[in-house]
This record gives sequence, structure tokens and C-alpha cells, in this order.
Amino acid sequence: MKKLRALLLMEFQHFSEYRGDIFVYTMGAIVIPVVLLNVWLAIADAKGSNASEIQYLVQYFVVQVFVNVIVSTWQATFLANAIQRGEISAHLLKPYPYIMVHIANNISEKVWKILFSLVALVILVAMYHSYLTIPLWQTILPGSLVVLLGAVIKFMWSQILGMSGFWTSNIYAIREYNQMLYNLISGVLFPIKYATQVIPAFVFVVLPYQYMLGFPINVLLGKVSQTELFQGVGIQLIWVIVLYIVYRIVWQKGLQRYGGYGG
Amino acid sequence: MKRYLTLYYHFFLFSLLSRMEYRFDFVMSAIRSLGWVFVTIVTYTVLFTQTQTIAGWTKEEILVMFGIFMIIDESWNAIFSDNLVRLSDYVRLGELDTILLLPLSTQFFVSLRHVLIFTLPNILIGLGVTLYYLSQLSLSLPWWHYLIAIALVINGIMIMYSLMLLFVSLTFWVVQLRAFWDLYEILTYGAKYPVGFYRNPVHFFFLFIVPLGVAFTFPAEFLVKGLSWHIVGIALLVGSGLFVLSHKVFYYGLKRYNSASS
Repeated sequence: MKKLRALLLMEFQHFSEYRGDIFVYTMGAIVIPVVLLNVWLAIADAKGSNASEIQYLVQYFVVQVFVNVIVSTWQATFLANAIQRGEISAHLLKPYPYIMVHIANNISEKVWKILFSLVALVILVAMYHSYLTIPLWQTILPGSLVVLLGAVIKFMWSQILGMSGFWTSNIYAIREYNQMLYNLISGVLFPIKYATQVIPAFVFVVLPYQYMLGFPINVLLGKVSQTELFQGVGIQLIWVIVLYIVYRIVWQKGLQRYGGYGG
Repeated sequence: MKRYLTLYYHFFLFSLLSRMEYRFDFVMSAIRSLGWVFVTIVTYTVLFTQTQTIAGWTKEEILVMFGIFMIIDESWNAIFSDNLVRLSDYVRLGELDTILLLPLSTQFFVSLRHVLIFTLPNILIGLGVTLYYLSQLSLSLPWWHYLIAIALVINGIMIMYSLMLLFVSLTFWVVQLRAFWDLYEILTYGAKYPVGFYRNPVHFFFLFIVPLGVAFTFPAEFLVKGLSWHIVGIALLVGSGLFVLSHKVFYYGLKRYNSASS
């Protein structure tokens, strides 16, 4: 725990140098949902949605801003590059597991992003206050748990993608294909319930993407029944375990390969 | 003029030769591009399960716009992106000194020196998407409408170029700029949908503050819906005005650079 705290402090100070970049990321976190919200409001206009559907759409994309900040990761590229350049050697000698560096980096990234997204909160509430309601504590509690699990799943997923750096130098292509699937399946572009006619249901189950974003948002909005909630949390826990096992195996295999280069 | 054309021919040739070693990149880039076409078509199919038209656009009309979006975006990428992204490094590492000594326009050199050859097939994919969905619409347009649409596409490429030149010119004041691609992603994200989808203040923002609606929506809107002539005129004025503005700001910043290093 002390080690993690020291790393956190280091990463946090490191981040204050990148304020400009984080500002642009945060701008992205606002602009992208606002654009999508506008698209969906145009759809709601065209199909003549009732008030409750419009409210759901607005709340969905406003809440998405915050869920996005909490589950966001960016280490895949850094990790892959660090492996390619041999920079992880130095870390392997240190008295903590290497993944801890990324955990610390990820947490401090989020602290900064949360600070910036308070600005987003003010703007979004000013724009859409008539659609927003005070969140219920009955949904906050399970919602927080589910968002946290989503963050862990996405973190592990990115870590595994980043470790592809042991085998390939083309992390950008892998990241892009990942982004394509994320766009279609996570619920970032549309609430998943609207996609069921087009995208087969099993795709949403066999890939973890919706458990990173769409599912947590719906839990926070109280749109998930008790059984669906327990099912969803169960699937999230299974994903955490599966991804952890995959991570261990890939890391071991990768290190063997990596050792081959260095020694 | 002829001198610059010859120069550009050599820039192009040099970029081509230096990339021939990585011929596989052409294939990879085209496959990725097709992947995004697939994602976009699925996304619009989802959106159009809800309704027949969105803000007056049918699915085919929007996909025409997506094709044109690809043409503009990928052309900008191929011609300018690999250059503008380097400006901050030129300034930070002092490489701009060498460029300033060259007997040619500095803006020409920093904007056009490198051509991103392997994204060129993506422009053709965009053209294919545009033509396919145009044929689905079975419009019968006089031939000169296509010429004006091409002019609006070029106008769009220049708007995109001018906006990004304005952004990278900031480097003369702040030196370190790394958010290039992130900003680009944010801008093109908003440009992907017809500007008519947006309500104010977002609508106003994409027409008058950062005129990406003019750049990316107008060419398609002109083809599939028709735009009045004075709007076409204003669009071309916005494009050239922005180009002149970015040119002025770039040289204004460059003056700062001179005084800082000497």
C-alpha cells in the first residue's frame, strides 16, 4: 500500500506537466456526448418520442460523460511502446509488480480528469437542466459498484491489448480495431436496447464492451431490474476473473519472449 | 508557380519512395478504412431502425455525406497532416531555422513537404461510398452540379487545413503542443454528422465559430438536397477567408519566432 501511495504521488506530480493535453481530452469528453445527444434528440424529434424517452436519452449521454471519465484508460499505447523500446527492463527490477505503475498512472489520470469534468458538469447542467433529475440513492450504490467493476474490466482489457507489444509493433492497428468494436458494442454511440434488431444479441454477451460503459450507465439511471442487475454484476465478476487469468498468462509468455531479446 | 509544381512533384516522389519499403501499409490502411465504413453503416442502420429520416436526411443521403466526409478527411490527412503535426517539433528543436533559409515560401514547405502516401487508397474508398449511395438515390443532376460539389469538397479540405494551421501556429506562443491528434479527433467527430442535426448553440458553433458544417455538410447537402446559390457563395467565402486568416496568423507567429531566436 505504501508503495502504491508513493507511485501515486509521483504519477500525480508527473501529470501536472500535461495539463494542456488533459484539457483537450476533457474537451473531447464533453464534445463527443453532446454531439451524440444532439443526434439522438434529432432522432427523437423525427420519431415523435414521448417526454420520458427524451429524458432517458439526455440522462444517458450526460451520465456517460462521467462514467467515461471513470472507466477511461490510455495505457495500451504507452505500455506497447515501453515494451518495444525495452523500457520495462528497469521496472522489472523494482520491488513492486510492473502493473502497479499503470494502476497508479490510471488513478492519477482519473483524478485530473474528474477535476476537469467538473467544468463539463456545469456546462451540461446549464444546457440540459430541464431534463435532469436528482439521482436516487437506491441507484447510486449499485451504480458505483458496477462503474467500478467496469473500470477494472476496461483497465485489464487495455493492459492485455498493450501487452500485444511483446509480439507486434503495430499497436495502433490493434487499438483501432478495438475502438471499432467498442463503438458498436459498448453503448457509446447508442443505448444498447436500440441496437438489438441490427446486432445479434450474443455479440453483446461474448464481448466485455457493454460491461465497461452501457450497463453501468443504465444501472445508474435505474433502468435495470433487480434480476438484470444481479446477472450483470455476475457477468462483470466473471470477466474480471477471466481477464486477470489471461493477463497473468500473457504477461508470463510475453516476459519469456522479452527475456529472449534482452539476454 | 511552375517551380512550386516541380517541387511538389519531387516531394511526392520522395514520400512515395520512402514508403515503398512498407508496401504492406497500403493494404493495412485500406482494411482499417473499410472497417470504419462497416462500423458507420451498422451505426446508421441502428439509428434508422428508429425513424425514416433524421432532421430531413434519409439513410442513403447521410451515407453520401459520410462518403464525402471520408474524401475530405482522407485528402487532408494525405496532403497536410504529416506536415502540420511536425511544426511544433520544428520550432522546439530549432529546425525551423534551416527551413527559413530555403529560397521558397515557408508556409509551402511546412504544409506540403511530406505526403502520407499510404492513406491515398482511403480517398478512393470514400469516393466509392459516395458514388454507390448517390446511385441509390437516383438523382438526375446536371453535370455542372458535380463540378460545384467538387469545388465545395476542395473548399472543405482548405477549411480543415486552415483550422489546423491556426491551431499549430499556437506553437509560436506556447512552444510545446502535443494535443494535435486529439483535437483533430474531436473536430472530426462533430463534423461526421450533418450540421442540421444539431440544436443551438452546437449548431451555431459548427457553422460560425468552427465552420466544420460548411466544410463537411455543405458539399453533400448541395448534391442531395440543393443549396441556394448565395449559400454556396458564402461557403466559398468562408473557406477563402479562413485560409487568409490562418496564413496571416502563421506569418504573424513566425515573426515572433525570428525575434525569439536571434
